[in-house]
Amino acid sequence: MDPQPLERTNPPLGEKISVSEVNAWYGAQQVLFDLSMGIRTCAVTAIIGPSGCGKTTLLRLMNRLNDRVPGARMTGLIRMDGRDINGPDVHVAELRKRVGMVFQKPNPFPGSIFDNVTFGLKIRGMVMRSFLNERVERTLRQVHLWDEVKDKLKSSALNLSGGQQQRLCLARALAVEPTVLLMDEPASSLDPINTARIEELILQLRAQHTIVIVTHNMQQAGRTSDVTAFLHKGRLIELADTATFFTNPKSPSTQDYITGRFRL
Amino acid sequence: MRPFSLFEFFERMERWVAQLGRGGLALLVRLMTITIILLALAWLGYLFWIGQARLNTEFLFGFNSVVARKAGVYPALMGSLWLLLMVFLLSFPPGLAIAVHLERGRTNRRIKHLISLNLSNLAGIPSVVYGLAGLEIFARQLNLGVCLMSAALTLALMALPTVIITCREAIRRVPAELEDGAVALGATPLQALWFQTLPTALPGILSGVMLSISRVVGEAAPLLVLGAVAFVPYAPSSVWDYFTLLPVQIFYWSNQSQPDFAPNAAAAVVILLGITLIFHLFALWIRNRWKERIHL
Repeated sequence: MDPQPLERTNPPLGEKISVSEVNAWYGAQQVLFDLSMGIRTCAVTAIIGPSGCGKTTLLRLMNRLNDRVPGARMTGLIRMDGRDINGPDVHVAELRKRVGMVFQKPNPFPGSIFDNVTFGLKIRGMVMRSFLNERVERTLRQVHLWDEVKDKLKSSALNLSGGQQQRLCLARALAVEPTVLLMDEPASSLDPINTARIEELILQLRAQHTIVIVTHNMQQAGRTSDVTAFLHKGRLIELADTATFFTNPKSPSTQDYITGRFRL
Repeated sequence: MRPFSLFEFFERMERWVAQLGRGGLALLVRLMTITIILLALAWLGYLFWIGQARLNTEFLFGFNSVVARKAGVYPALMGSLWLLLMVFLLSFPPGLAIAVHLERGRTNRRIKHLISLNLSNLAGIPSVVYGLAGLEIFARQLNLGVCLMSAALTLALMALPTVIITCREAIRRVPAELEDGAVALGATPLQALWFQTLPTALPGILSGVMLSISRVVGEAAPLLVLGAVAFVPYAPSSVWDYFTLLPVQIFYWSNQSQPDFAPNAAAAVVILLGITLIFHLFALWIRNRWKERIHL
């Protein structure tokens, strides 16, 4: 496996997603307060914070997955490429095609490995065999799973190990060619070796993808991200370049959190 | 004397039960199980013995007759198979739809709770009551008369609560993350349900539905009330035909004054048990295959 991240020729500095003054509720309980932040294009943004601080909620607002949660609502504006993702002209399935997501627990479909990777394509009517074969091979190579599974593409995805399953889920998301990847603690259920693999993948993928990763592992945030955001009790406490964030945090509570002296 | 302690009491009880388990209790349980199985087998053997003269193709494909030796079970057998199929077709699609709605629909939670409470109540209503309801609603008010259709509607109504409950169970056992994963790839909620949740739940759904339907079709009481007890000399050829079915035929033959009909009843019981057994084995097979699929 190649540990070197791909060289980025043109480091883009634009904002892919902008979150402005977002409040979110589950029922009567407010979980996000007046949150505003920008997500930089083709960079890795890590969101850290203690459990229950609203990290996952923020992530799930970006592909509107929270629409599915009964009682969940939000106010404020989330724009992707300048367009309001909650706007009336936005087709939510199209939005989710462009914003891929990897979940905390690997959740492969019970079908074959091949079916897993092609599901996102098939529901869009892309069924040409040669095209699917080509796309499966490409995305599985991209997540370094091809050599392990190329002889058993027809066997059940549930027979794979946890780490393989998570890489398959990543391949599944990549198959529809999203520009944004949301990762909700993608390595939290994996062992150190598989965690390292996922982290390497993140570093490779940021050449072409805008990545938002939620993690409670600060070392992971430090290793993989360009920008780090610290959330606490639904509020954005600090947002800075990762190097600055960990070496020279402005907010005292950020300082406390990254040094482990944090009290809830 | 020491004060009574619940902790100590439980500890002693457990030790006592464990001791019993090593010795007598396990043996007792084993003996009881064997006895029950032997009793069931003995009863089955007795039925075979009584009905052996009639367990042949002539009986299986023969039509009913006033002469016991010439009477066949064919009309009843076909009636049962027709009903099995019709009840499946009538109760499965609406049952699954209601189950999906209750599990995934956007109805108020309180209304859903009320519906599920009613469902479990309906599942407990005696079958005779369903027969009376079917007689009044389908045979009389809807003017269907006593025919396969009104019988199938009655039985479908009776199967519906259990069908809904088993479908809900099967759907609920599919992890929600699966649907989230599909939706996150750009699937619509219906696509996620149709292509991921339902195929994963299908074996569980089917095995549950088959068990509840085969149970319902084994019922004689509701159809006796509906008016199915009669001498039917022909097999049904359409859903509007008059009909009989195995449980009713068994009841009819065992009610005859001539003892000659007893072997007929016994043989029909063996056939009915055979059908039910095949159904149950099939359902079990599906369920076991499903278990391998749903480790997530």
